[in-house]
Amino acid sequence: MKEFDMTDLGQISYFLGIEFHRSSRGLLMHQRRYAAEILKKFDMENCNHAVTPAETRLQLSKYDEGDVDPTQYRRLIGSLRYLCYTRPDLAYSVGIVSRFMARPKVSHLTATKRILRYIRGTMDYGIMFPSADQGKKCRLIGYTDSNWCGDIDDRKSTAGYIFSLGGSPVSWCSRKEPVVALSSCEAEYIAASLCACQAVWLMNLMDEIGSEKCEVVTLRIDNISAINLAKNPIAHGKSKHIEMRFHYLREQVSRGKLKLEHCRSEAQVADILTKAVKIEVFLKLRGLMGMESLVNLN
Amino acid sequence: MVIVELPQGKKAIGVKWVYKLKLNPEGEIVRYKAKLVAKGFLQREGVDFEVYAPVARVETIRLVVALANINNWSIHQMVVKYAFLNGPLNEEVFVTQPPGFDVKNHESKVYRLWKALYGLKQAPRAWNKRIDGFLNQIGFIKCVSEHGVYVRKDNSEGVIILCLYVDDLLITSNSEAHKVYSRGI
Repeated sequence: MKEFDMTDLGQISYFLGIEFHRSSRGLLMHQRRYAAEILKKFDMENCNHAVTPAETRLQLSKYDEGDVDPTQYRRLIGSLRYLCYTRPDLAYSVGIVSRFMARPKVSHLTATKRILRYIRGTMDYGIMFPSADQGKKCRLIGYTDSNWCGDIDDRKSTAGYIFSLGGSPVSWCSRKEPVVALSSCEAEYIAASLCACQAVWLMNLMDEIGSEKCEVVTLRIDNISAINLAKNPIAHGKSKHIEMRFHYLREQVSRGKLKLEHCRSEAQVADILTKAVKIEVFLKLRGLMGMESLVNLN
Repeated sequence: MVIVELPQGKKAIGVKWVYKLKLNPEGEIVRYKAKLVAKGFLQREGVDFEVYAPVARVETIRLVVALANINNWSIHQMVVKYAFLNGPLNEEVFVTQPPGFDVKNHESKVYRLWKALYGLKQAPRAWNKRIDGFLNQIGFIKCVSEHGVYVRKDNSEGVIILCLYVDDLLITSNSEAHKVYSRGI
């Protein structure tokens, strides 16, 4: 007697609308079918490709002109957000257009269509989990970055972080910071603190799963003042106002759970989660992130 | 379920049949399906049931896939058929008789449900409780930091990790033990 009536689907291939493709180079997690469905649903099957999901230095405001149909806009955003499950390269641009769900304008819809045009050219991209050499120690590394005063309406900054395990992205986020930062150092500090919360959760989870003991997580930041602020309990004029909760970062660093490292801006993959970067930078960081196309595998 | 007179002060929830054609990839009809569903929108929220049911986060799924891949473990997936019909109900729920299947001479009676139907507001939670209890019974422990993940540690079978997303299950282990489970639990 079995407890439940079940179907064994064998080796993982299609789970929650996400496809898994195994090749000699590793396992690719992608949503090609879903991407094609979105393009069809919104009549963009035959649109031209765009190389990046957002125009460089694009600024959107909620006070832009010309209303569009909010229902259709929200539907579109909802679909795109699900696609982000395997697409960290879209996280920033989808995050930006999601801010205008309440009263979408023509400019916001144009930006969203640009994302669709980018998807049209990159449907078979996904996250790559490369085949590993046995016994190789895998490390959890977080990259955290922030822009400064990115939102032209309320002047709040956008924080971005991404965690990589054995070279594949497992967790990422691009979101507006809850408070206005007075300096870029403060914005980075807040971003790192949001990243620290996620890092601690990931460590706990890995510990519970119990396959990989993870003692310390490295966070890579490209701002030296933010690192110093987290390492040394100093409070001078420029930082004494920072809210208590963001010092969670400092506490975790002093307890030895997190290790902060400086990284050069060119190697800062979280950059892609906080701004609309130039084409060359975008393509380079997308590769560094661990994204790969199905086409390149066979 | 059992056929009863509707007690005073209770309301019966209407039910209806939902028909679905199952097509194969060539677009030909392979199966006609009919599902009896409850009109859950008639239920009063917060009065007589709770609805929250945890699922695995997508970060967790990616993390488990990454861990399995690094260690060269195979990952299996399975799905529970008609999952929601397995969930036992804590509350008294009455439904009307299904259209076309009225019991002669008892047309005014209603059914008291023991298990959930699709469409009932508490169905996902009831199902989650059911499978949670069962996984516990066979030695899987729910993670504190993620309620959609269960782990079973055993000296002979090693570690088995299971991600639960409503009725979809993803299962992997450092031995091949999970294959036994993926054939059915």
